[in-house]
Amino acid sequence: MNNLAIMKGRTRALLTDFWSLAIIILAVFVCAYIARYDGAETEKSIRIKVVNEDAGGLGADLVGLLSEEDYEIEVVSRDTAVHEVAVNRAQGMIEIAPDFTDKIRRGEYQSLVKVTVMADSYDMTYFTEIVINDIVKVWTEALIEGKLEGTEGFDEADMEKFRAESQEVWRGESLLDIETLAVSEEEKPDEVTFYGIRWYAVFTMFYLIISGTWMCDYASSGLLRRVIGRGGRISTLFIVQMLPGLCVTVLGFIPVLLCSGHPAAGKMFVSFVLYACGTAALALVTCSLSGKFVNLILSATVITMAASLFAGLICDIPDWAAVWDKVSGFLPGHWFFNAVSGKAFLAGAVIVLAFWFAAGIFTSWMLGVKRGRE
Amino acid sequence: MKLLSFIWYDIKRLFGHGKTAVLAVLAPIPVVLMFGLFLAPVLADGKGAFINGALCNDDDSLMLTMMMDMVVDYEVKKGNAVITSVPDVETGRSMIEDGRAAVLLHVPEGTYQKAMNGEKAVMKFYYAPSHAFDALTFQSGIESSISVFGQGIRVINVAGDTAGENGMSEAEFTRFRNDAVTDLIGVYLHRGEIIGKKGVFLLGGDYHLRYALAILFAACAFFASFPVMYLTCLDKSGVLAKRSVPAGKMARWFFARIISGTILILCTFAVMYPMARALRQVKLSSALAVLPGMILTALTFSALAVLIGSLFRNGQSALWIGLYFGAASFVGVTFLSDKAGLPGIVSLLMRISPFRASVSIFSNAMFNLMIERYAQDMLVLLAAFVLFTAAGFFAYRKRGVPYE
Amino acid sequence: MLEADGLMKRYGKCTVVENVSLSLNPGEGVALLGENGSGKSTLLKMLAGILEPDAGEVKIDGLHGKQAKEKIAYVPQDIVLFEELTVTENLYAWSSLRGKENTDRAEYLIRELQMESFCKKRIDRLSGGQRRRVNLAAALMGNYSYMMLDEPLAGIDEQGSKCVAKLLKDEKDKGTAMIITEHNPTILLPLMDRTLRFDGGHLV
Repeated sequence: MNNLAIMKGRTRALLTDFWSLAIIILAVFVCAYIARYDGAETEKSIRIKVVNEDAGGLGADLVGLLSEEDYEIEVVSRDTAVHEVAVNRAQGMIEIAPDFTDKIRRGEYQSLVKVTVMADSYDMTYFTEIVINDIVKVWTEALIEGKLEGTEGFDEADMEKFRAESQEVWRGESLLDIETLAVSEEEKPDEVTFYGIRWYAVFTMFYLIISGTWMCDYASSGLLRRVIGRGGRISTLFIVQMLPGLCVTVLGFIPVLLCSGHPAAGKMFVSFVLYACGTAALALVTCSLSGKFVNLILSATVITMAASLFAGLICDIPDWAAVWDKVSGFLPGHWFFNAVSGKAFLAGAVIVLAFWFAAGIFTSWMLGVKRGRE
Repeated sequence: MKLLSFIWYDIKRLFGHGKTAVLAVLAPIPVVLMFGLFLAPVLADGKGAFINGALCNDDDSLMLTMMMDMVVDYEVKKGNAVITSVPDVETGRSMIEDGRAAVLLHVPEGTYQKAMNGEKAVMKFYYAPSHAFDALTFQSGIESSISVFGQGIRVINVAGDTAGENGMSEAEFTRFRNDAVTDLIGVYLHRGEIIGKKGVFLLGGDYHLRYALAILFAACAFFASFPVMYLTCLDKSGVLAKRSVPAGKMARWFFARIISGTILILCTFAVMYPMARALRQVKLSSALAVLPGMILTALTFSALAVLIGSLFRNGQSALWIGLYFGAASFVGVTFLSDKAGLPGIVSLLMRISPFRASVSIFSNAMFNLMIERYAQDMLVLLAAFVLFTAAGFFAYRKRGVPYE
Repeated sequence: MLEADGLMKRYGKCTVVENVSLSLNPGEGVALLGENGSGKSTLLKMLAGILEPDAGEVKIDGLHGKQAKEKIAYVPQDIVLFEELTVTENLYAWSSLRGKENTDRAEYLIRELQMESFCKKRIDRLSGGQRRRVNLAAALMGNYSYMMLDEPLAGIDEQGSKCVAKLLKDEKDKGTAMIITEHNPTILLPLMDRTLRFDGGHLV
């Protein structure tokens, strides 16, 4: 077999396959961006429409308090608010009742506002609580003002002073606070971030599987029989054909790694090369079993998601799921995640690579033999 | 042959085309299971309550004890929490370690009096790491509300100071403060009534889980349309292009494909809905609202798949376009659809995206139905369905009848 | 009567069919002979309305385009069937696509082409020769008065070839005109009224 010619042919095919190549190019840009700005605060911009039908002035005070929260607040008519929520231009609406001020002045608190929340944003969990708290602030201030108004010798200047000091209090610390403590036998290690390089690893797996239509042929045609018949080796053929794809993913990893600022860049590079090789072998198993592209597109998505999730690449494995941490040891991603976290990885990654390589060659050979008989 | 026979043959073809359709229908199972496994403790514990906790109240003040009793009693009755009173912190901590409780709230001695005297009082909230998700959500709610309560007391003290400067006596001030604090506790214990609901804490709690579940629904439905895309492309460049088929007959074949694709996608929903119910106890009654959304989503995604399949000669190109379109829609809806300040075109695309409309219908209809949003999203899906069907039919006929 | 006038087809710079004119009378059989790649299949596709010519036109009984196309049964060289359906379902589906579902016609073709033993099997479970017979039967479902057959006997065994020949003779006797391309003319050639040789895109 002319290995060089085979590799050249595969490289040409890979570089002209725009659809799959675009995945890794996009992955490099997206992950380099994530790696560069990992952990940076992002501005919240949930849009809330407020319908202020209050006849008195306290409704406006509430709007003022709400505007200081992390939401984009806009006062509009009821019809507009309903329309905006309906057409997804707002994630929630607050309707301040016409008797909002009157009720508060009377010391009542029932049904002062109506809150509508759409469950289509991650940032709406505490929204209702925040609205209630702001109303409690307005209510408390108004209640005390009412009581002070009846106090002898209390004039408008005193009231202004009280209002100013109240505002300071609302902005400042509370007298009642809660300290949060985790009950745990073991000390929890610092959370590992480096989402840029972790997610690039996820993209790499998806790319290597989905660009592997050529690997589908290993099990579905007489390719392997012909290779063996000519004295070639399946393993050599696979390595030669996989090499261009691996080079592309490793090259893409370099800018992501540099942007991430990981303290052990050399170790990370080695671990990624081992991860990519192990994943390529896992891709051979997946592609052989899929047989055709339409199956590959479905299985690539599910397998990438499952393997990356269990390995902790997509997000950190929750404490209660520590068992996955052990079970996922057969996945290349597990050892890559260990490398990202600064744990030992080399021996595990090499064993896993050898395992998947053997599994890939065996699966494709077995399926090739089976389909050959059919 | 009637349309029904065409549909029957097309379903046989779709499901008989290797393992693709079966794979598409069963793909949501591992996806939803993974989602479910991440929430395992939240789902498995608490006897259906949001939180299972212990309370250690070392403060003997009457006011605080009464307040705690009222809060606990109400939340327990409402089924939001299972609360066990414990005599000391160690007992509570051991309950967490044994898994009998997820959280422990410790109110130290003199907490109320400290707050009344204008000093800072700190309560302690212990939680099991395995319950970090639900415990911290609950804690955030309590903390923000208690914090406002504490600030309220501070404002009362500020008022007292100002009044004192104006000659208010000590006795008058005490009466003034007690009255105000009683009023404040009254409103605190009925916070929910402020917005016309009942209870003390009104956390959205699992809004983002509902949202994630809705996204999974729509994503799996879209994925289920891939076999439709592929088979349409194969037919267009193969069976229907290489034989002479009169244009009139193409219409039946086209609509049969859309309907069989819809049935395939509905099969995915049939797999997912019971799992979603098991995961988040979605009410059966909400199925009535979800069902039309599911049918219209399935029709729209099926029509889109037929359109994409009709536009390409090569099955792989069609699938790639489908994949990129799906990924762009998924990313857009997950990360952008709720954001203000987007460029006008992105914002418009988000509003008219059938994927976004589908996610919104599921998150809206399965949990809290806002009829205006529901109607609008159904309209978006209907418009998308009509558009995809018309464009698809044009492409299907054009490609299927090369020479007229 | 089928009349083709000045047909021409190019693929890039290569002219596959150049200025071909021919006519076919009702009930007439024509054998189109030629080397591989001589353009026979392309000419047949243009006559059947599957492929649009770059120049020239085809008229059938004075009709053009869609109406003309409905009078032709075309048997492609490739296997063009619904792989996931059974033989019978394929015949029903193709008759519906070409007009009305005709179960009698399907049964007749199954009998004539000796497909009874495998008519309940899916196409992707059949041998190459069996598929060829179904491919032919699928084209013969529906109403037509002209047939274009592109190597209908390729891959069919001797017994099967005789069945096909008999069926085609019956069709011809009923007044159906046909053009056949075939590399092995010994079986079908005797049925034909005339022979045309095609070479380098021209009739010679």
